[in-house]
Amino acid sequence: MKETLFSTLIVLSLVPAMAYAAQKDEAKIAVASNSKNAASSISNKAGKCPYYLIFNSTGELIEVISNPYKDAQSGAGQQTANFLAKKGVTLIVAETFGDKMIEAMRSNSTDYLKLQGIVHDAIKTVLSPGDQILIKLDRNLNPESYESYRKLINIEPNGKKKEYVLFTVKKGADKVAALFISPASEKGRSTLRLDENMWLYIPNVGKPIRITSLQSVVGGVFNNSDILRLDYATEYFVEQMEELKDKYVLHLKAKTKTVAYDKLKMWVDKDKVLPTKIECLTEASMLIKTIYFKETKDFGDKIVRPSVIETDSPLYKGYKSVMIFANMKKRAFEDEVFTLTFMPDLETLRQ
Amino acid sequence: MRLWPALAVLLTISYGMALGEEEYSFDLSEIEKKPLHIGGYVEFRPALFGLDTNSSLYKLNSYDRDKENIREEYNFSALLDGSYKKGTTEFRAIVNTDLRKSYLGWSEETTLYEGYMSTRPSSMFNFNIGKKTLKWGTGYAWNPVAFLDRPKDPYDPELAREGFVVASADYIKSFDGPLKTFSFTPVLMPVYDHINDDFGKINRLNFAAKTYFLLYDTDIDLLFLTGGSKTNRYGMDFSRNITSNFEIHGEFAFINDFKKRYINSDGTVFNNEYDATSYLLGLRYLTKSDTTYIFEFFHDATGFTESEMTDYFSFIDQGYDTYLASGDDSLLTRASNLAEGSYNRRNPMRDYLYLRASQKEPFNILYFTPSVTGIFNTNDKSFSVGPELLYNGVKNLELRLRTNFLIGDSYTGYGEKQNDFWIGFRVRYYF
Repeated sequence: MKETLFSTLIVLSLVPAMAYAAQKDEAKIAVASNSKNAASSISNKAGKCPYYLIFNSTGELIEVISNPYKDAQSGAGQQTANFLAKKGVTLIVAETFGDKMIEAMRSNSTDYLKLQGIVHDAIKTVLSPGDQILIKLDRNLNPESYESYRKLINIEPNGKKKEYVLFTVKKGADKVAALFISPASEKGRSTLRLDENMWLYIPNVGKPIRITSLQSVVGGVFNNSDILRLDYATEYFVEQMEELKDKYVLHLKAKTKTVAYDKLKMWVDKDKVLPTKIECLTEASMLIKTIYFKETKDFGDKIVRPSVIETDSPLYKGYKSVMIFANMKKRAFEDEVFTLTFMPDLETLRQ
Repeated sequence: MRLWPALAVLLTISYGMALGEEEYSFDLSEIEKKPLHIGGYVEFRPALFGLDTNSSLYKLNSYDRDKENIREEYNFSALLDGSYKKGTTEFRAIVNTDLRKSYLGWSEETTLYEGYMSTRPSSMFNFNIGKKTLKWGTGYAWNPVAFLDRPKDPYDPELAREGFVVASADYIKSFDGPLKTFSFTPVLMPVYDHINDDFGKINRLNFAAKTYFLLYDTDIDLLFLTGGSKTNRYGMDFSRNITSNFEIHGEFAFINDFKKRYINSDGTVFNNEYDATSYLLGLRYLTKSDTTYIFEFFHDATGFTESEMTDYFSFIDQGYDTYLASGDDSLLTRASNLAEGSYNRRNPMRDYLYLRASQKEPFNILYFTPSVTGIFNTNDKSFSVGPELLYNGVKNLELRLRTNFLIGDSYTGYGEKQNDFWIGFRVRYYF
């Protein structure tokens, strides 16, 4: 029962406005909707959706706006972003956003979030303190678009090591690619993830082949989805949150069946809002692997995050895999970089 | 120019200090980009073949030799892969040399697998000219839509690495919404004396194209080939993940006016012209215990029927009997000439099932992958089955032991292959 002294709060039972309102007292959330009520589905066209439903920081529907730019021939995303900013909207939710709308939202300092499903559920997610922490943790772990180098080390019980070096590029919530730089046997091999789609390109095979997220491209404890990880908030929602003295414990549940792990239990440093440990679990809560985040480092450009990630697994007793990050920096990429056709040319992105 | 190594050393030291207690290091000189890159591998492949001296194909290939039950073969190969990048342009060459000691003595063959210039002015465009593989299709063992590729060995799909001389381009465009990616790849392929002259009819400039869509999380390709070196052909393929451990794929190819030459048992040659529709359906499934199953069904409408193959085998037997009786090998020579590109294909018949099961790292042996591959000819019920052990736990070294048993009745596809079994070892070192 001592645990209950520390894990005092199940935040889902709290007043839902707390987190978002705490950050922005005047929070106004606009959700792209296919109809005028909150039971409707979220629109997949942020710029040209039929309606925007505006909610206040307590989750109350305060206004229904018919999108004046829904039939615009061009520039709908940009004009919609500016229109909502003028109405005081601080966060826009839609299923997809165009590049120009993202650019306009950034210059207006409007936050945005890609979500699928029902408008009413989206508001619950947006106002949940746990999900807010998760979104912030994602941004603290890496910028939305960046490049970095990683070294993967598989360590066997006898101390024998095998190392791989990867160049990684990521853009937005759902695009990430990695290119093997070494060893020679793996050089030129690349993997691409576009949302839940994954491909592997092996120079000897000569074409990208579709793979599944649970497979491992390097052997050892890390699998494809660890190597090509998307933002946690993209794949998981917070089912439950506990608050300890200096940590949050987030219980995450996969949004879809195609996500590699059904559940995650994540320990988050309260001050830094960075993960310290994650347990990856099956639906029946069986432990698949544990990920430890270590050696927080300043990469420059306001990127301060763990530079070493260790993984062990009860399925691989005595084995350990380590990921070391280097040269992480913000970088903008064209969407076309994250396509199957571009995979053989990922090397051209290295500067 | 000496700044970079100094910086790399400095950063390595600082990393070493930061990570000192775990003893991890990340030498940043490892990520330095160099304009010139030379890599590749060397390998040694000894193999042992158990011959079926009563099989038709043994008789066809070895009628003028003393009968042998076992043959040894030693292969040494070196593959050199070099590239030079300047700005947005890359020059690349892949050259392979095979040195073989077989029952025919020593032989050497050097082949330019690929040699091309590639330029990428932006992430949306790419242009290539030179010898290059295109590797179209989503199938693992077979690719009926690979209109511009050399046929591959279902047991070793990586072997077909030699390309053709082409000029090609890629245009890529990404979108938000159900259609995430569109790309268009037009290809010009000249077939003249000494240029791609093993592809088809010469003195033709062929045009082919592939249009790719990532639509509703499904890879879809539409493809065609025209120009006269081969008859016009059109294709479509797809691939899609159903869950995080289950993928499906397929290919459909339509070939206009396909011309098939076949022989009956008394040696009369027939030419048949028809529109052929071939297809492949497959899946890849990963179990919770890390076993990957790849399953494919291939219907090849350009292949031979069971009775056509039976006729061919009985014609060879007839030719062999004639040779034994009179020393006249003209019938066998005729059978051999007919085989080229048709009867001697690895899978010359119409319907095949492919199953590969591989187990990742059993018994916690890291980098060890045992697997078994089976190909079943559903037309004549003959089959081949081959276990394989692969280990790549030592840096840049790959060890592979593979066997294959070919099983079938008389006058069946696998029953009449010249080997009953073979066993091969491959040690490959990458540099």
